[in-house]
Amino acid sequence: MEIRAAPEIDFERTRMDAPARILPASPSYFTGAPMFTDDLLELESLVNEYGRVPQVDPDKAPRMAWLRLSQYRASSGERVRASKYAQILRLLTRLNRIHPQLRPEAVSDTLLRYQRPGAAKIQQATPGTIDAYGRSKGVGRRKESSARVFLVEGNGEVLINGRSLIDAFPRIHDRESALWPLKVTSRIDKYNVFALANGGGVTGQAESITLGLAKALLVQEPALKPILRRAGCVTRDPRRVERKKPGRLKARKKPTWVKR
Amino acid sequence: MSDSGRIGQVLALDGPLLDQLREAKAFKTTQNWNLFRTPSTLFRQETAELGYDIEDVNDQKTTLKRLIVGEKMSGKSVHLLQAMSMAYLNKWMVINVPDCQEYVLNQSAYAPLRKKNEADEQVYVQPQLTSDLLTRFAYSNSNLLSKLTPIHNHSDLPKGRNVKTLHDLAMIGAQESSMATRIWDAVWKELTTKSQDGKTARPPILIAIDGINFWMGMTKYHSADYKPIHAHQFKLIKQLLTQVFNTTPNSLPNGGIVLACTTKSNHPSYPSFDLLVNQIRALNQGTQRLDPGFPLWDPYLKEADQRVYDLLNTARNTQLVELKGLSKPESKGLLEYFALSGMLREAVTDNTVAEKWTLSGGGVVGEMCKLGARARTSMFATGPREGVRMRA
Repeated sequence: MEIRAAPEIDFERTRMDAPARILPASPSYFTGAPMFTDDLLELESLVNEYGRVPQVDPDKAPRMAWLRLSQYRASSGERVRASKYAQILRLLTRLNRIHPQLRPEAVSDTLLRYQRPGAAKIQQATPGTIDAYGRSKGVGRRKESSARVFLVEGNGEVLINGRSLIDAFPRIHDRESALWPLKVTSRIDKYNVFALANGGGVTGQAESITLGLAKALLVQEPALKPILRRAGCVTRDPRRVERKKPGRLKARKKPTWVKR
Repeated sequence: MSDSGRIGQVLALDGPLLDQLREAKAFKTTQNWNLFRTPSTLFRQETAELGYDIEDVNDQKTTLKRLIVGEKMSGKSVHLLQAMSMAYLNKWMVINVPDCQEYVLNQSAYAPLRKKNEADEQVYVQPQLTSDLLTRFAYSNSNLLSKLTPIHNHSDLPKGRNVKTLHDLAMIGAQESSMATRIWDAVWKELTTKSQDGKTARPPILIAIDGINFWMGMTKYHSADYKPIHAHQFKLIKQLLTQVFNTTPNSLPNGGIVLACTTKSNHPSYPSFDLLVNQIRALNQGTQRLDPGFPLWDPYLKEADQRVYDLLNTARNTQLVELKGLSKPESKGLLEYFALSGMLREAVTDNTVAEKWTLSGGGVVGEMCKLGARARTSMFATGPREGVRMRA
């Protein structure tokens, strides 16, 4: 066999615009969802780069409506799983918390790409209103109970499920905790309360009325928020009854330990 | 006594009045008398109205009938005690039934009365309970009774009894339960004789009955055929109920007030009686029985009690007194009393009064007393949440 050298390269006629070897635009080509991976990496790099920029509190950040999963899938053409998309949403929320006035343009532009079309007017959380009769409404939940509380200016009358306060809550502790937002702000005699509570037990209903009453009071007087927060009326108590587990008698109680 | 200017003040009960009230068993152990050295009571709007009623009866010798209802701990029994105090101070006779429940529990002896006709309903007597009633009556009214002589010649009583005064007469029944029923009949006949002068004068009577809702259904007693007996088959119960619900113009010839109050603690539920109360309320407001808005019985109700329904026929003259919560000035007076006695450690301002007014369900007296006498630890002084660290 004769070994010959390759012919001379004729630079006049050889095209230089096409690569000699076709490479993928991004290494994500080799992943299952390249466009999703690229987006994720881009957002992560932005977070890494601008993570030290001052943030605002989550409830003060501008309210944004991000692309829905179906919309993102349509835009990328990939069947991205919801749990994977949640990672993107988490990064978007994190970037959205960067103080709007200090936000770099790169971040703003990237966030705009993910904004839901048709939601250009950012949806503001509609604050509660006081209706024609002067009533404000708040909803509270605790354990399995939920309560709707209507607050109107008055002289201190209270009706719970149509019954008087002592009928509804025989225990003084429950009565006090139900009206705690008003007690802490010394406004018990300034408002009338009408509450409808259902589910759960007596104390659960009382605590749910606490939260609902605080929300209704904040509609009437928003400036009371710091006082109510310090009094512990604004946080929804997330504790629920713990489930029973196998191998235990109750949620935590274990059978008697036997040495042998 | 009928001074409206006293509303909101807390007045003490002392002197011989206390002994009389104790003997009449007006004080209950579930009330908060043991917190204070001298028993005192709040002068409310309803107390002033009682005072006006007593003045009316003193002037005109009419008979007033009142049924007192209200929610739990709204002050019904203490209202009766206030009425009794006023009656004693006005030198009236007081007949007190402090607890209606003991008449229906089958814990006291009972005996049937011989029927006049076969078709009549069987009536029963309760000798020991009648004797207890006479004991309370004799001892608490002893001052008055020992100055009055009997008018009638009670021939059915055994001879040889030295009965010079009404006090002697009542004491026979108080000491011997076997004679109690006959003595009670004799005493009642004496009291309801029109008054003369001097030693045969007869003062007005106050009848105070506490817990009348226990008398509106079946008792735990059984007849000879072992069938339950209805409360209205008992002679004493029937007699006292007739005093509360009757339409004769002067059922107490010398004037008087009949007060009956319900009880909301540990009470049986008698729907027929609830209906009766609603009907009396409608009658008081002017709605007649045939008017469209008049409360009617539920035809599908199984616990329909005809005897209780029939009380409506004679309930025209019975006024319903509904004890609601105190007003803010009255609550302020009560809380100031607690503060002055050292039980309530807070300053009594309009703000704190309004707070306690709301927390007691709109000024219910008993609840407000509980709030006034509450011992507070430092955690409760600040509140249930501030001492507890919330999860971030």
